[in-house]
Amino acid sequence: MGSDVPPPDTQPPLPASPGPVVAYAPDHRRRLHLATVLVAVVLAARSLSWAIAIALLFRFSGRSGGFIEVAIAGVGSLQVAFAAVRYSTTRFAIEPATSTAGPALVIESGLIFKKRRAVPVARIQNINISRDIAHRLFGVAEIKIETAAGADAEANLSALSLADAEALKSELLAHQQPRAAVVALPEGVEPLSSSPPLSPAAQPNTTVYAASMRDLLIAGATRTKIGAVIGGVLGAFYFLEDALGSALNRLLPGSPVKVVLQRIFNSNGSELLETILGGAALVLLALLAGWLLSIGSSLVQHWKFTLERSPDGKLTRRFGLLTVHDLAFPRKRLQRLTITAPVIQRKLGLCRVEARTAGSYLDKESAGTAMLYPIARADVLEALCAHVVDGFSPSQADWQKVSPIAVRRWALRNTVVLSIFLGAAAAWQSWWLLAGWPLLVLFAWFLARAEYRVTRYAIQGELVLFRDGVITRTTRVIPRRRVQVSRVTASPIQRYLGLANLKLSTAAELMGSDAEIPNLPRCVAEALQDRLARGQ
Amino acid sequence: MSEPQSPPTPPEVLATLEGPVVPRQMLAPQVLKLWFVSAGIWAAVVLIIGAVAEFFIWFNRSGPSPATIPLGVITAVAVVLLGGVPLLLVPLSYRKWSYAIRAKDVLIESGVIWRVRRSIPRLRVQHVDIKSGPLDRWMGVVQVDLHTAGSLGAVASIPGLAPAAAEELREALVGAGGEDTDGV
Repeated sequence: MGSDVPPPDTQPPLPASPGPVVAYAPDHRRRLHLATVLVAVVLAARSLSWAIAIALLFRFSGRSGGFIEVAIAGVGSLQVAFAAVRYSTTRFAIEPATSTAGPALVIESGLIFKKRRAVPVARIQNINISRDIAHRLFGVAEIKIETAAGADAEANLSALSLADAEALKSELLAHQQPRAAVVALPEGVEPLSSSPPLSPAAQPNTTVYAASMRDLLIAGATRTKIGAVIGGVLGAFYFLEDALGSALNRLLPGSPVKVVLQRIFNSNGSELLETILGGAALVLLALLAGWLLSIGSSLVQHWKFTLERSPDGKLTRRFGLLTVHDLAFPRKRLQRLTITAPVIQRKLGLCRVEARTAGSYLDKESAGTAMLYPIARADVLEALCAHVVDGFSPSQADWQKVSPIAVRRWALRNTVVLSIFLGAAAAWQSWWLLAGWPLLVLFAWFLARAEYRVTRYAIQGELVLFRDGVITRTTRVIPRRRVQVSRVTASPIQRYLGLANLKLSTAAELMGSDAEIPNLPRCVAEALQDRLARGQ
Repeated sequence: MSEPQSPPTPPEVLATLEGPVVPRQMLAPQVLKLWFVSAGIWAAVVLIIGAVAEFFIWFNRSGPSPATIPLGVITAVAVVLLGGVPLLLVPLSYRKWSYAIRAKDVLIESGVIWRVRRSIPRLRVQHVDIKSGPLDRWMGVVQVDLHTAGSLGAVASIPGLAPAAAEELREALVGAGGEDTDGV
């Protein structure tokens, strides 16, 4: 494989294509680092670790797991082979600006299907250098370059030496900076030396925020990952029931967990107290595990978190213990700010702040949602957010409630949802549970009242603010110039009540996570929509 | 709620916002015919599938039995609902559909059961497609699709425009992007 690729120093021009031919000097195009293949070996071993563990379990439980081992070997060697092809065929270069188009990053790759991709530098949203543990083993890095279009990173170069990656990043940023100047200058003419302030490297970055160990511990300890714990345990039981079950049986015959589980699932009412106690113990165990997992993941994910702001308004974040991220995005590309306070953090006056940019949404931490402050005290929140977005001051905003009639719709919705659950529980356990239905209606009403009390919106200068959440309080900040589409929607029940929702979509929301101000009086929703459109 | 003081709009942005303004209006009458034809085709397809299903329910090897009656009835009801309801909704949704090209946005109202009022700022329009399917070409009309950043498909489409009017609309909307913004 790769035999048709000549050595790099005798690089011939590209195979003739009918398109515009770009003449490259032989040394013009760059390649990936040789460690690409070694990184792929480590990554393959890591991604297959689950399969390897299952294969080992099969071995220990004395069954034949031969097909798994064959599959592991096949998938692993395929991954490494692809990396080798990528290493031997990928070439990239920054193509200088022409009279009609700005500079572009051009990447060529592919063995059978040759691909030549040009990413206009002006359209680049994010440049993310990340270093997985595999990359750090070999002193290399991965660089991801994203524009607003599409689901995945537009250009993903893995692996480059760390120095090369940093150089590429600063080159791209430098091309992006004095945009007009680069486009206007003919090729080969040096920019005038009398414009040093344009150079982004001229002034040092200011550190806006650096998370201490204590911050990260608090951030982890005030959240819980109980969902992940329950999901993981259920998943493990589902997939490994046989192998795990026989191993458990041999190790702990009649283990207490198993007895409790049996009691809960085959309860006949005679051992009610034991069942309840056992269930409570299991819930406590899951809570504890979720809590520890949350602390651990907070430390690992946001280790040494720093947020820096450059003089030209670029925000750079560095963090991570295993995978080290280094992400930069321009302040003006911010699509949405989300301030989240789960119930415990809210009671302690804490919250976390995340940004959304118009990058890929599949790769959560690289762009879709970018953590800005893993933990922030509510009283310094405004000062912190001033570094990111102008004119945001939640304490001085003119917060408006939604329509009071909203309570009726929410109460109806809560009643329907809870009734379905009650019906299922009654069918499963005892029809006597249905006697509690009036209590349920009361609860649904109180919940609706609480929702009405916390749901607020405000318009503050160029920003739209929206807050909701009875338990986890979320505040979203959307610059109104970033709104791509706004929709006023009304379901039949809402039309009957004279209500409507106002939904604001920015370029960051592809998967329906738009900010939606629910249950406004319909005329208010339409007036607000028109006002936002006019404000642009 | 007091009107907030927004920063003054740069003059070059204002300049790009001048374009044809179309008052609020219904779709062309061809669209009603077009929607009827496509709903009719859908109903016919559903009817054929339903008929085949009914045939196999009633005339299988063991012949009709009391047990097959509910299945046959449910299938018949499903066919009528699936094929007939869209056909019935066509005139209603035509009556509820309106659009306007305003100074700063494109406004589209639609929906019979779920009402939607969409506003797409003209500055945010990334590209505009003009497309025409076989039925469109038969009627001599085209459909204009508006795309913005961050959405996979078109955020809005206006059917039943004359080709010349669609071309004009596209020019007006695509020319709206100022240098001030990169559209995102």
